[in-house]
Amino acid sequence: MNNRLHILLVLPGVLLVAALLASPLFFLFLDTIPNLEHPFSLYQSFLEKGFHRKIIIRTIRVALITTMICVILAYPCAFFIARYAGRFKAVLIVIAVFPLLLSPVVRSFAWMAILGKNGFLNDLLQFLRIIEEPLQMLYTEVAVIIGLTYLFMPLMILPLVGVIENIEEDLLDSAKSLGANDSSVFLKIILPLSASGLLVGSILVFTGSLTAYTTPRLLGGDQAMTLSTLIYQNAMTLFEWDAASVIAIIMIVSTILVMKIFGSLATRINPDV
Amino acid sequence: MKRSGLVLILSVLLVYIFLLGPLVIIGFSAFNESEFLDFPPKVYSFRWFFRIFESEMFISAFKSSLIISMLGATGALLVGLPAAYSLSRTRAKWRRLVLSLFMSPVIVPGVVLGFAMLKHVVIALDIDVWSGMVMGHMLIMIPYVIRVIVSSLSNVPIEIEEAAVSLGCSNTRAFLIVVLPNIRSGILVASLLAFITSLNDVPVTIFLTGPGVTTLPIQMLSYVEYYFDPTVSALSVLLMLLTVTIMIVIESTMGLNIFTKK
Amino acid sequence: MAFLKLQNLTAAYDQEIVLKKMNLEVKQGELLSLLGSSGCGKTTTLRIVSGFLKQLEGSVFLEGKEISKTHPSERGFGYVFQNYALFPHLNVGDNVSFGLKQRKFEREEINKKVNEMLDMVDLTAFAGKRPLELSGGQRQRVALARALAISPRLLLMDEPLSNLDAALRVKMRMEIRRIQQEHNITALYVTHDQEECFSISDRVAVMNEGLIEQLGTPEEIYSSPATSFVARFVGFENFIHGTLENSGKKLWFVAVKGDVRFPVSESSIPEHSAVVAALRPDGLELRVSESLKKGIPGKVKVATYLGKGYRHLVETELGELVADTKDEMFAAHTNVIVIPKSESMILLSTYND
Repeated sequence: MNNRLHILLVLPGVLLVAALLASPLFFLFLDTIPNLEHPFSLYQSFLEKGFHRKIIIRTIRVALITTMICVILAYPCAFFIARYAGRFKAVLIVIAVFPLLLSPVVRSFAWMAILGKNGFLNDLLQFLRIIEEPLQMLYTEVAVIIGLTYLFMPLMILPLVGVIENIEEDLLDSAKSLGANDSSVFLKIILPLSASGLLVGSILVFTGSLTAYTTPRLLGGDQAMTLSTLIYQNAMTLFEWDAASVIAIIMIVSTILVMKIFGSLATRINPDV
Repeated sequence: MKRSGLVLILSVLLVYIFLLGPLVIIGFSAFNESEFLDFPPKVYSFRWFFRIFESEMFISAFKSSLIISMLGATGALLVGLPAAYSLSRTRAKWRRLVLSLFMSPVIVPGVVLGFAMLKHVVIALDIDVWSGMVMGHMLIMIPYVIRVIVSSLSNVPIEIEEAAVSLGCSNTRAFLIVVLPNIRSGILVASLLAFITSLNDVPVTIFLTGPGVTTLPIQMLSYVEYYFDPTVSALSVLLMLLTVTIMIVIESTMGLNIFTKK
Repeated sequence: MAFLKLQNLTAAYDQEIVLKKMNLEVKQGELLSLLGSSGCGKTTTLRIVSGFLKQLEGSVFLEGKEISKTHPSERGFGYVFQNYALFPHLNVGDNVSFGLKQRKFEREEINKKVNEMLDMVDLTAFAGKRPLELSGGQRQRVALARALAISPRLLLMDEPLSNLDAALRVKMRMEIRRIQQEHNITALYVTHDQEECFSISDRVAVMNEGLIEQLGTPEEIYSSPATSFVARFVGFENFIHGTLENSGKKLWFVAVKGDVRFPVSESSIPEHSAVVAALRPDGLELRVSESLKKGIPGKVKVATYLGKGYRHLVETELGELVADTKDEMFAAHTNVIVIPKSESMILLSTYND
């Protein structure tokens, strides 16, 4: 009775998502299996090209490095915000949220303005007489990494702040009363408890970096392509739709895999996450 | 603790300069007379802002963006509000599955979504570009609508509806006069978040554009790849203002801590 | 004819059976409580009566008429929720008048009734306030006023006081009883608090796992619990297994272990059957073992001070016994004799653990 009503209420939404997401993805997957005797032939021919393999490796490498940088920088930052910021906590969180609501075009363009031949950094370095000629910084892998780090830093900070905030003061007090000094308290209680937050943030940053489009396109161009720019090139410029489909499936499978594996790891460490 | 305290403060400063610095730089360049992004600007002017309003392509792109985002948001709300209500009240076994389904547009990479929709919806079913674009945007807005409204409904427990019914309301009436007024701010925030997500989207949109149908970010993207001048900086400044306004509205209704809560 | 009759109600919640063929009759004007711990089915019963839950089997009759098919909005029952469920966007006055507005009363009549209700719960000055601005006790009173404003045929209350602090609970329960009696309102009251229940009810139904274990007045239940579950609920803490024997024209209770036997006045339980003798902590006396009185030997595990006396946990062959004394305390490790007072003893035929 009630259940029937509830089903009726979700039905339109379910149909919409099924029609626009689930079934297209399903058919896309089918597209990548040409026949049953050689089901993975398209994948094979895609992976045979060294160019493609290079891009896959680069995409993973970029995502990994971005994630690591974010972890290293965001953790002390989030730690400070969660525990020592006091009155400024709200302000700091707002500032971290703000870039998230800006278009990735704006955020990547900002780095074009900084890293370009006539950009801020080159001007500054020349002004300081550190270099004579402007450096080529755009359209390199480094530029993409910087851009992605910029894009995803808030996504690492915010969940971490949430998790560290939730570590009850009582836990730390009881550890201290049992004899732990400050660094022990940090290593044995705060770090493990915030590990799940780190994992969540890392999943977000890693999968985001793996699949981002605008930033690699603007900051990496054709010289430093990633899977996302490759799929666009194949689909819309080269009209190689088979390759594009293969890339799409590779991207989505790896995203889901990463989320599942590290997600369950995070929940295992801290079930509240 | 002193030395580690110093490390903490330094890292916070570093990160926040990193986060805000680039935006400040292009902010300044937007007001720069010269077309080179030298910093700090020698002469200030509004010329790039005037350029935007004189530019047919940006104005029409902005108009299209507005229409697409508003239509999409309306659609997402129409579909998402009843779904969110159902998800927050039901204890059925399918709840988790359906919730994951609704959240999936956030998990699936944008480029994959865009390409899949292009190939198997727009082209396969011969749908016109406008409709395809609106549908694509509805899709990416639904997770936000559902997340925010479900969260909002958690503050309106079902007992309140039952109280209204016990006092003589029909079920629908109870929803309209007792639940809806209490989730007004949730609906507003959901719409704003959805709107801005749609307004800023690039990966999905870029596969669904067609002749005459483009959005502001896509237009900015192609402009930036050919012309490198502060017009985009000026546009960025305008967009930043818009974002700040929206954030103020969100803060004064539901509060910005919806971004840190899970 | 009973005012409210529940017949063979069977119900499930989340796939689990929580009510098993429950039968109950409520008289007009009485306050009947459903007493039990969580999961026993008391709230489920209330929700079936109100119409918010559909039963699997059975019927609900109000003044002889089946009401199971009637929508909850048409039953005219007042419902007071555990968390009050006040409408957050309406002020106190609008909360209370809500039901009247649904019935399309005239504005003057509504105002009159609202003032009457607020006066009854002593909240006249709060009419313009929002629920957020009220304390727990005040919210509780608004919830009560709101339910009574519609002059309900039946008042249903789901643990209305459990979210209040102890002192307020005592005060509020008397208010509720006063209002109920003054206006002769029939009420079904759900609680897990035995003291609260006994102090305000005309009759009590003690529930356990979907069944009514005993129905009666508070006095009856307190002095003569019918099952060991009910006995536990009303303060019996000692349960000694034994049998009933006839010897020398007298009836005796013989414990399973040790040489413990007591004369018993009379019992409806057949001879030679297994029985349980139940006693409250004040139904046991303690003496030092040297006193050589007849009783159950044991050793004190721990003694605590209750204010009105001392409570002892005594380890004996028949299990751990709880014995209270008024003035004398027996320290831990003391060897004692535990003497049951036969006039305080209740005999039960089954013991469910």
